[in-house]
Parts: sequence; C-alpha cells; structure tokens
Amino acid sequence: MMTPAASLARRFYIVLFFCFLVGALVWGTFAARKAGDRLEERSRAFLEAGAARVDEILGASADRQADLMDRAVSRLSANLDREFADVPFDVFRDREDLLLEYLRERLDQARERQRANTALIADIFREEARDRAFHAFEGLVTDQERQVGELADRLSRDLLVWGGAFLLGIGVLLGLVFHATVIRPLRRATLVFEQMRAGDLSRRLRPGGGEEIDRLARSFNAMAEEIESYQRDLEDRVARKTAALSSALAEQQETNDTLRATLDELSSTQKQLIESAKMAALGTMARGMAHEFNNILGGISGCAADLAEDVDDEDARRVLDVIARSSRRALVITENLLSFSRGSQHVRGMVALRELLDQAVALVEPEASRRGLVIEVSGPEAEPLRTDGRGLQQVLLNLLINAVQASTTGGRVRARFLVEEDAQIFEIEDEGAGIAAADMDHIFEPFFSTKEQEPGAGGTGLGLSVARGIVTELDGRIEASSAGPGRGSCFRVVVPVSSRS
Amino acid sequence: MRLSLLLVVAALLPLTAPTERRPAPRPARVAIFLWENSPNDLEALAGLRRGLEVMAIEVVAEIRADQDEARARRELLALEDDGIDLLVALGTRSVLLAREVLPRTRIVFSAVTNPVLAGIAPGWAGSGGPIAGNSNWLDRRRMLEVFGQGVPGLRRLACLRTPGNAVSAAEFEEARVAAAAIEGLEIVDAPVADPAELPRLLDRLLPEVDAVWLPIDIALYQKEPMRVLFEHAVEARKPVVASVARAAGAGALLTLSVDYRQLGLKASSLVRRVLEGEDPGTIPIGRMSATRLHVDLDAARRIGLELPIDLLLDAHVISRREYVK
Repeated sequence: MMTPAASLARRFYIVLFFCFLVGALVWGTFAARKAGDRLEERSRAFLEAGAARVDEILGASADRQADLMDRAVSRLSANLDREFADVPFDVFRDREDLLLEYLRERLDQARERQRANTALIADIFREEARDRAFHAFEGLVTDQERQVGELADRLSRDLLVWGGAFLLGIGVLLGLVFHATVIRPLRRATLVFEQMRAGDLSRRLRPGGGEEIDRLARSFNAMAEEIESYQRDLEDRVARKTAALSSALAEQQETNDTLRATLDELSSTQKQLIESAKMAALGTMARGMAHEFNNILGGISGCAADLAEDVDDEDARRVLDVIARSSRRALVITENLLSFSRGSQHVRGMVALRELLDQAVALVEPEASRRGLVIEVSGPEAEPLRTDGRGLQQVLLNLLINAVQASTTGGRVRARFLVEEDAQIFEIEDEGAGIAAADMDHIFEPFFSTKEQEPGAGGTGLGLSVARGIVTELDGRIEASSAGPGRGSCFRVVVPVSSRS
Repeated sequence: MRLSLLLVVAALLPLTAPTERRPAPRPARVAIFLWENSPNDLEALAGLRRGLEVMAIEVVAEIRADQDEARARRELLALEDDGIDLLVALGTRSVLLAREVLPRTRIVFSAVTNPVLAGIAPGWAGSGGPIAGNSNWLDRRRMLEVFGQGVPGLRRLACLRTPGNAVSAAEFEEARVAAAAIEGLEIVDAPVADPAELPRLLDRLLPEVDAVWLPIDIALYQKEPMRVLFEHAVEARKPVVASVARAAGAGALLTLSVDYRQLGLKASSLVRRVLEGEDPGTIPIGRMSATRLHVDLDAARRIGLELPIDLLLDAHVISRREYVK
C-alpha cells in the first residue's frame, strides 16, 4: 500500500513561502537599486538648479548693491548742494571756525543720512533677494516634490505591472500544482459520488495522492461499503414486505368482491321483499274487494239476463243487454283482480296457441266492430305447448282490449302469431294512442294506467301487471314498444318452447 | 563729495581776510517770543539761538506763551518797558500778537507759513513796516517734482482742502500754476466743506486721480478726517502726499517740509541785518530753497508702490515700522 505523501497544505504553504520570498528578494533588489539611481539623479539636479538660482540671485543682488552705491554717491553730491544752498553764511561772517564746524556738521548729517538710507535700501534689497531666493527654492522644492512624486508613481506602476506579472506567474504555477493535487482528485471523487448517487454503489475512490486525499478516499470507501451492505439488507426486507403486502392485498380484494356480491344480493332481495310485501298487501285487499264485487256483479248479470229473456221491448232489451255486458266486463275486471291477488295459480295443459289467439280475437271482435275497428289475425299453426291456456288467454284478452280501447274509429289492430325455434310469440299491434317514453318503464306496474277514464270503461291499471305476472310465471316475457304518443303500440308476448313438455 | 565743501570754503576765504575790524556794536537786546511749543517752532528756535550765539547777539528774554494770550500780552508789554531792540516771533500767531501789542517794535519772524495771507506783509517783497522774516512756504514746482518722483505716472493730483481756508487755497493756486509748466500734470481741486462729506467725496474722487495731496489745512489735519482719508486711499490703492510735516508717519506716502532749524538760523541773519540798521520793511521775506522729504515705506507697501532708489537716497527720513520680507 502506498504511503500518503506529506500534507498537501504543508507542501502548498512551503512552496508559496519560497516563491514569495524569492520574488520579493529579486524584485526588492531591482526596485531599490532603480529607485536609488533615480533619486540620486534627481537630487543632483535639484542641487544644481538650486545653486544656479542662488548664484543668479546673488549676482543680481550684488549688481543692485553696486548700482545702489553708485547712486548713493551721485545723490549725495546733489543733496549736499541743496543742503548748503540755504546756509546763511553771513551769520558766520566773523566766525569761520564756527562755519566750518557747522558745515562739517551738516556734511556729517548728510553723510549719515545717506549712509542710513543706503543701509536701509541695501537691507530692503537683501530682503527682496531673500524673498526671491525663498520663492525660487520654493519653486525648486515644489518641482522636486513633483518629480519625486512622478518617480514614486512610476515605481509604483512598475511595481504593480511587474509585481502583478510575477504574482500572476506564481498564481498560474500554484494553480497548476493545486489543480494536480487537489482539483483533479476532487473531480474524480465527485464523479464517483455521482455514480453512486445514480445507483452504482460498487464504485470506490483510489487512495493516495497526498495525506489528506488518501484519508478522504479510505474513509469514503469504508462508508461506501457500509452503504452497499445496508442497501442489500434493505432491499431484502423490502421484497419480503412487498410479497406479504401483495398477498394481503389479494385476500382483501377477494373479500371485497364477496362483500360486494353479497351486498348486491341483499339489495335485490330487499327489493323483492318490498315488492312481495306490497303485492301481498294489494293482493289481500284486491281479493277481498274482488270477492265482494264478484258476488254483486254475478247477481246483477244474472238478473239482467233473466229479465232480457222475459222482456219484449227492444229498447228495454237493449238496456238490459248493456247491463249484462257491463256486468260481465266488471266480472272480468274482478276476475283479473282475483288473478292478481291469487298470484301464481296456473293450470298447465297442452295448448295450441294459434287457436288461443283466434278465440281471444273472437271475444273482442264485437267490441271492435262497434268501434269501427278491424282486427287482422295472422300467423301459422304450431305445435301445442304445455302451458296455462286460460292465463294466456287472459293476457291476450287484456292486450286486445287495450289495443281496441286505444284505437280510434277506422283504425286497425293486428294480432300476429309467430313461431321461432325456441319460442312462440304473440304480437298485438295497434294504431292508437301510443305510449310516451316516460311511461314505458311503468306500464307493467300495478295500478298504472294511461287511459282516460270513460264512464264504465274500467281501467284499474292492473291488466298489464297481471299479464306480465302470468307470462313471467310461464317462464315467458312480455315486451312493449311504441313510437310515441299517437303513434300506436305493439305488445309482444314470448312463450318459450320449454313449456312444450 | 568734498568738492562742494572746498568750493564753499574757497568762496568764503575773502570774507576771512584780515581786514580792519569794525567796532563791535552795542550789545543788542533781543527777545524771542513763541506762541506755542510746536515742534517746528522749537526747531526754528534752536536754529535761531545758534545763529544768535554765533553772532554773539544776546537774547535777553524768551517768552513762551503756551497759547495763553493774557500772559503773552502781559509779558510782551513788559518787554517794551524793558526796552528791547528787536523781537523775534516764531509762528504766525506769535507775529500777529507781537505786532498788535508792540506795534513800534522791530520784529523778525520765522516759521510763518504764509505771511502774506496772514496779513503780516502785503507781499513777499517786504512788509513795508518794522517786520521782516522768513517763511516755510514751499516752492510748488519743487514740491510737484518730488511728488512726481515718488508717484510714477502722476498725471492727476487731487488737492483736498476746505473752501474757507486761505492757506490751502493759496497752495492750490500756486500748485496749479506750477503744474501748468509741467507737461501732463493737472491739479484737481477737491474742496470738502464738511469733513462728514469726506467719504462720499473720496469714493467719487479716488477712481479719477492718481494721488491725493493734503496741503496745509487745519480742518483736515484732524484725527478723524485723516483716518478716513488714509483708509479710503489704501483701499483704492492711491497714494497720499502732503506738504505738512504732521502728515508724516500718519499714512502719507511722501511729506515735504523745510528744515526749520535752518530756517531759524536764516532768521538770525535777518536779526543781524535789522540790528545793523537795515530797514526790515524792505527785506524780502525769505524762503527756503531746500526741502525735507519724509518717505513712509509702509504706506508704499500698503498700496503696492515701489519707490525709486533716488527718492529714497534723497529722503531725510524713511519710516519703516513693519518688517518687510
């Protein structure tokens, strides 16, 4: 196993220190020598300029002094003339000694005055010269400062440029070193991290390349091993749990289906129970009423028939006939009612259904003729079926009567008999009032009627309900169809041939 | 420089030749009278005394009035009683009072600014009376020449004076005449009736002239008018020149006057002449040909004026109080 190299940080700092040290030494030596040369040059120039100015000022001052002396000499002479112009010589007429003394006195005063004035003027010249020298040196110093400042600026600029270039070089070198020892290993590490994040936990870092990088790689590899092991364990546990959950889910689903079926069955049963209860109640009521009315109507019909035999008056006979017919119709209604209340009390026998149809048509034809209707019968002969002939006849009578009552004068009722392989079919079609789409679902319900109530027309709403009940008991079905109100209706009774045996 | 001295001595040699000496006159009795102890009068007195001493003329009395008229009159009258031969009066007021008190006494005056204007004499040719003397009245042309030397490019010189002052009026008039003979020079009359009007006058006047001349005018030689004048002049950077010694050191750039000691000495000559019998009324009133120049360097620096070296060499007094760098 390769031992890690010395600490990266230590190496980096050592390199950096030596680089800066060397650079600083080189640059400092160069810059100092250059600055020294320039300063020496500037100072020499300054001194030379200063000396020249001083020389110039002194020269000018000396010239002025010389000129002053010349002027002083010439002015003294003129001033003395003026001084002596006002001397009252006659005062000293007899005293020449005093005159001389006076004149000497005046001369001395004049000379002293001249000397004082000259000294004063010379003093002023000196002050002016000093002032000029001061300003000259001030200018030189300012100029010197400016030049030194320029020199300093230039040095600073050079330092910045060369120093910057040097530092740039150092920076590039250090950057390369840094890149090789730090950046590249980190990039490799980053790549491994990303591969692991993508799911490949088998990836590992290569140790080495420096103590820090080596330690990082080893630590990372150890961590990766742990993660991989943990993940495997986790996957196993997850798989087991998933299987258990799936099994539980399937059981739950099965249970749900069973519950749903049970619920549906219960719902249907509930409906049937409700229907049965309702029907039972109705049946009981209808039975009671039917019995009562049956008796009453039986009496009325019998009496009417007996009277009709004994009466010669045509009008009376006609009235009695109407009473008899009406009572018979009422008996039919009560019979229907009793049938409805009795429920499934059917007597089966071998019945030729085509013949049954003819019989039913014959019973209804008188009423149809009275209404001006035509009943058309069609259909082949067929093998008899074991079924309830009486019940089917009741059904056909109900349908034919409904068709006749729904039709208008001059209309046509068609009664067809159809034979299929597994069923024999009655179709009763009319061109009458028709059935609205909204009523189609309710026409087979008990007590539901669409007929207008005619006096003596009957219409309790039980006919179709009874018909359906009878057909259903015989394993058949009854269907209704209509194009709509005013467009006729068609009722189809399907009797399955299984009823043949 | 000694050439002039030699020439003078040579000129005097004949006078010194041993000739027959005149007999010494009776000692004259001369008195001196000063109305006030002004510096100029005292300078003149010193010169006078020296002259009289040289001439061995005894001064029997010296009256200093200190502006006390009563005492002055009294003492003057006492002189008459004592019998003096001649009275020397220094200053205009002295002369006038002496003439009034001692009308018959011979008087020699000195240090009188303008005896004609003062009424001492009808003209400069002589008093016509028992009075003779000399004056410190300046030669105007000489004055203007000196002013021109000190103020380069002097073209317009304003004469600041009070209208009622005869002396300053006479100075102005003489200067105006003298300026006419100097090419390019004009004297501008600047009368100020009330010193309170001086600021307004100066604000209007200073931009139009090159310098301001202060003649002998007692009303203006007061503290406040002079302060106002010099303040405005410095602000306008215009020089002030004066013909009165009092203005020297007060802010005037150039001040021209006379050597009062020499004036007094010259007056002693007049005393001798009168004592020797010359009619004082016929003696022309003497004037000085030389002037004394006082230069104030501080005033020059305040207005930024550089004075010619010749002027400085000619000056009798150069004032410089502030240090010049």
